[in-house]
Amino acid sequence: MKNNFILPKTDISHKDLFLFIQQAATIGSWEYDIENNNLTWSEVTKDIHEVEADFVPNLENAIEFYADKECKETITNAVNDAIRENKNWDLELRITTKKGNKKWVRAIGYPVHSGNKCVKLYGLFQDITPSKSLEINIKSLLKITTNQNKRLLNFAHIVSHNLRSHSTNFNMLLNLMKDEYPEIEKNEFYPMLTKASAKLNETIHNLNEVAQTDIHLKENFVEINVYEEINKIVESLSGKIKSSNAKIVNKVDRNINIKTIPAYFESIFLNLISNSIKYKKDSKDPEILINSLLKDEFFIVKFKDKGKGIDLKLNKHKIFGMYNTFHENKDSRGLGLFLIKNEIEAMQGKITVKSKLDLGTTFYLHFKL
Amino acid sequence: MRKIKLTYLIDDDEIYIFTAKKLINKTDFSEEVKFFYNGKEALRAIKSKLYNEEELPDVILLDLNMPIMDGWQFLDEFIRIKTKKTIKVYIVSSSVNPTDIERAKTYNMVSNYIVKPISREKLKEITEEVFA
Repeated sequence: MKNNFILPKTDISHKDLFLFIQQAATIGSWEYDIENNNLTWSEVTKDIHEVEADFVPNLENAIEFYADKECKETITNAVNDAIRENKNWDLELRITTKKGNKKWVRAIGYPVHSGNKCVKLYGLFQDITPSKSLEINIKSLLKITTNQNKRLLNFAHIVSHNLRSHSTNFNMLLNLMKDEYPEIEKNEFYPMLTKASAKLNETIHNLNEVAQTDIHLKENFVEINVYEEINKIVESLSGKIKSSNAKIVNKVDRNINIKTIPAYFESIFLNLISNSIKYKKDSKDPEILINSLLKDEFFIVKFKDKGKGIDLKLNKHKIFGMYNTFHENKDSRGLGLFLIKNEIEAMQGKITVKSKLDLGTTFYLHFKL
Repeated sequence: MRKIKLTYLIDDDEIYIFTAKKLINKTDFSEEVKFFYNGKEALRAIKSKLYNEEELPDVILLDLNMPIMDGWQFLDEFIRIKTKKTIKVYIVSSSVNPTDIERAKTYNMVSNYIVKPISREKLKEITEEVFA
């Protein structure tokens, strides 16, 4: 792109002004006088073709600049149609400049008829390489994303169906084998096979949960009242809460409704609450405080517990990762926070965390308003 | 507990058929079980018995993913067959994909969706439902 414009003189003519505009907009112009077979290019048109100022264009050498046979044919047809049928053209084509550079150009042409005869063609010529490459880039990115989505769907299908059917077969075979040959249990391989089969089933189950998160993006958003919804989730966990002596206080703004995917919203709070109960301090009953604030385009739900906490200095980059656990609990799957992050991001939100060892953890759930 | 007279089991997975056969033999699920490797084979058998409805199955255990004619295609054909006999269809699939489970609900004649592996308990539940 050329930026050092030649400033017009004080007594500017229309032509000067026109040429100045061309330089500023990097749009060139041209004229073709059919009777005298005379083609003229403006300075910017010459710049785009990267030819010398004294270059003399004609119809043949002008068409030669077009990059390939297809472009040459398109422009030739456009010129012929303009002369014969009085048609304009506005095309995006590729040229190869005198210096050998490839460019995308927008070529515009208008015929001028006098009586039944075309006497003149004139038009504009613009270098659109930057926007065109951007467009091509975006298109290829879109294609990549679409393909990735398709692959993900295939992957989810493989997990939820194919892998499952093999692992359940294993499981069934081992069970029936034990039924028919009870003595097999004494073989040292058998318990290990059973264990491997159970682990395989569990891994596939986990993988399936993750794969499903991505599939359900298309699911409809439903408006919910955050305060009431949290109460319902707490209610559904009443058994667990009672047996662990947990105290949960919901101080979320009662007036706020947001659009969510209900299954995700529920999964997020189920996971957070069970985490807080699971990772309570050994010496203390679990305590959870949930409140809220409005900030910019987000409704932020603050979920705070007084549990064991997580050492964020060590684990900051891992906390929302898959299969990462931070405590010695046996039933930790390392999946909960990974799922939560995926689910909240699927709803155009985000999640951040503050935590100190032995003091507890606070999650900031940002829901888009 | 009463026993189901005739069951059609439609599934292409040999290991599953092997285990299902064993399990059904060990339980009082059904007096007789006929096995088909895809929907088309089963459909042919059903159509050939339409003049003798007594020989039609009481229960169909239907897999979804199968070659030639899958479970959905089978259901779409089966829906058009007119018979006085009540035939209960159970989908038995390893798919836990919610899309499949929801889709199964759109078929009225599907009694239930059972996720593999099948077990003694699941077979018992089917029997209870059939004779309810």
